[in-house]
Amino acid sequence: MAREQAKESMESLFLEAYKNYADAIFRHCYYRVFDRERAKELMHEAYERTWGEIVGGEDIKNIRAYLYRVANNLVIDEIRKRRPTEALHVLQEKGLEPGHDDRETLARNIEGKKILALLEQLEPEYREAIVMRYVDDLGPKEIAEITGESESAISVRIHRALGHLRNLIEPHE
Amino acid sequence: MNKFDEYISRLKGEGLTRGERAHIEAGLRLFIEANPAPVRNISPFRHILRQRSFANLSFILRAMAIILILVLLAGGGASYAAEQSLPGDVLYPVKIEVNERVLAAVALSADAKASTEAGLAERRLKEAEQLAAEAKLNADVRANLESNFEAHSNEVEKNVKELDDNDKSEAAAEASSNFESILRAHADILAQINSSTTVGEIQALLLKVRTETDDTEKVRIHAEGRISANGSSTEAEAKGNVESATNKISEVTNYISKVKAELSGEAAVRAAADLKLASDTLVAAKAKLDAKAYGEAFVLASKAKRIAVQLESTFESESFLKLDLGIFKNASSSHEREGDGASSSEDHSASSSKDHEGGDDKSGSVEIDGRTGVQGGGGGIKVEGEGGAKIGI
Repeated sequence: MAREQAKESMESLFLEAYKNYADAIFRHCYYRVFDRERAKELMHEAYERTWGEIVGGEDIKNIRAYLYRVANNLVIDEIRKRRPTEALHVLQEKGLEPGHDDRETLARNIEGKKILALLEQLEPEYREAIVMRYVDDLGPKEIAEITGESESAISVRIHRALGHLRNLIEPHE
Repeated sequence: MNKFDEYISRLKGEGLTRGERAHIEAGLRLFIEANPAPVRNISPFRHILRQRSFANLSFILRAMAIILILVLLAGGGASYAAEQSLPGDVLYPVKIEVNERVLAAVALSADAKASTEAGLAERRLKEAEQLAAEAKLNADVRANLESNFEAHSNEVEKNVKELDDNDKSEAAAEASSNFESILRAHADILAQINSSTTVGEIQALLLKVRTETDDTEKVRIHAEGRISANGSSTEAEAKGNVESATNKISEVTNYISKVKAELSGEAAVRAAADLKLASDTLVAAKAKLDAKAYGEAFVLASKAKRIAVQLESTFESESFLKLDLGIFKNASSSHEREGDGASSSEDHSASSSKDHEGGDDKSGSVEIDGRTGVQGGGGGIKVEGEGGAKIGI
C-alpha cells in the first residue's frame, strides 16, 4: 500500500511539474529550433525521458532543472542534425502560423515574427544564453548546472549575448 | 519600456494553447500508465494488463478488480474452469490471457514475480506432457507452448538477476534453485516420455528445457558464488533456509510414504535414495550452520531442498499423467527406467560422503512409514520412521 501511494504521489508530482513548466520548456525549445510543432515534440519527449529516468530509479531533486537539462540536450542534438540555415527557412516558408483558439501566438503577427527573426540571428550559444537567462528566468548558477559549464563562463556569455542582441535591436528602435 | 524588455515580454507570452497542452498531457498520462513508477522490470503481461484493461482505474478499483478475479478463480466460473484447460480447448485463452495475467500482475516484488513466473513456466511443461501423454501434441501447439515457456523462463531469470544485482543474493539463489529443480524434474519426465513414445515434438521441447536448466543453474551458481564470497548471509537467512529445506524434505517424505503402496520397486528405491541424499545434505548444512559458516549452510540447504523438490515434482507429474514410466506399479511397467537421467547426476555425484545405498533394500520392498518425520534443531537432523527403511543419518 505504501508502495502504491508512493507511486501515486510520484505520478502526481510529475504531472504537477507538467502543469507548471510545460510552457516554459516548450518556449525554451521553440526559441532554439524555431519550429512550433517540433518544439512541442521536443518538450513532450523531454518529459517522457525524465519520467523514464524516474522509473529507472534516478533520484531527481530538482525536477525543473532536470527537465531543462533534458530539453536542452534534445535541442542541441536537434540543432546539430540540421543544416545551419534550415531553421530560418522553416520559419519563412511557413509564413504566419494559423490562429489558435485561445492564445495569441508570436508567429501569428508581423511584430512577433520580427522578434523571432532577431533572436534567430544570434549565434546559437548566445541565443541559448538569452533564452535561458531572460525568457526562462534562470539564474547563471542554474544555467551552469543545466549546461554543465562554469557559472562564470555563463555570466560572461550572457553579458556578451546581451550586447549582441542590443546591437540587433537598435536599428529597430 | 525599452525594446529589449518589450521583446522579452512578448517572447515570454508565448505558450501552448489549451488544446495542445491537454493533448500532450494525455500522451504523458498514457506513457506513465505504461511505465509505472516503482515497479521496475515490468513483464510484458503487466504492461498489456495496465494499458488495456486497467488504464484510468484508480488504485482501489484496480484492487477490487483483482480481488474479483481472484474470487472467480477460487470460486468457480469460466475463469476457474479454464484453469484445467489445455491448448486447443475453448477456455484455454481465458487461462492464458486472463488468469495468468492476473497472477503475474498481483506479484509485485522481484521475489514474488520470479516464483509466479516459474509456476507459469512449469504449467506450459505440464500441458505439453499431458498433451503428449494423450498423443495430441502437434508441432504448432508445441511451438506455442515452447515460446510461452521461454517467455516465462526469461522473466524468472530477469527477476532473479534483479535480486542478485540488488545484493539480495540469497533470494536470487533460492528462486533460481527452486526453478532449477522444477526444470530438472520436467527434463526427467520429458526424457522419459521421449524414450517411451513416438511423439517427436517432445525432443525439441526437451532441448529447450535443458537449455533453460543450464541457464538457471548458471544464474544460481553465480548467486551462490556471491553468497560464499561476500559472507553476507546472516544467521537468520541460513537458519531460515535450513528450516525451509527441513520442511520440504519432511513434506516429500510424507508424500512418498502416502503413495508408497503404488510405487514400483525401482521407484521406491530411487525415492529412498533421493530422500537420503537430501537428508545427508541437510545434515551437512546444519553442521555448517553450527560452525557459523552461514553462506555455505545456505547453499547446502538449497541443494537439499532442490533434491527433494525434484523428486516430488517428478513423482507428482508421473502420478498425474498416469504415464507408463515405471514409477507406479499399476502402470504396466514394461518400460525400463534409464537411471535418474542426466538431470540429477550432478547432485548425486556431488553428494556428501555417504553412498546412496544407505540402509535401503534394493530389492524393491522399501518401506517408508506413514509417520515419517524430519526433525530439525538441536545438533542435527533426524529422519525417523517406524520399521522399514530408515532414511537417516
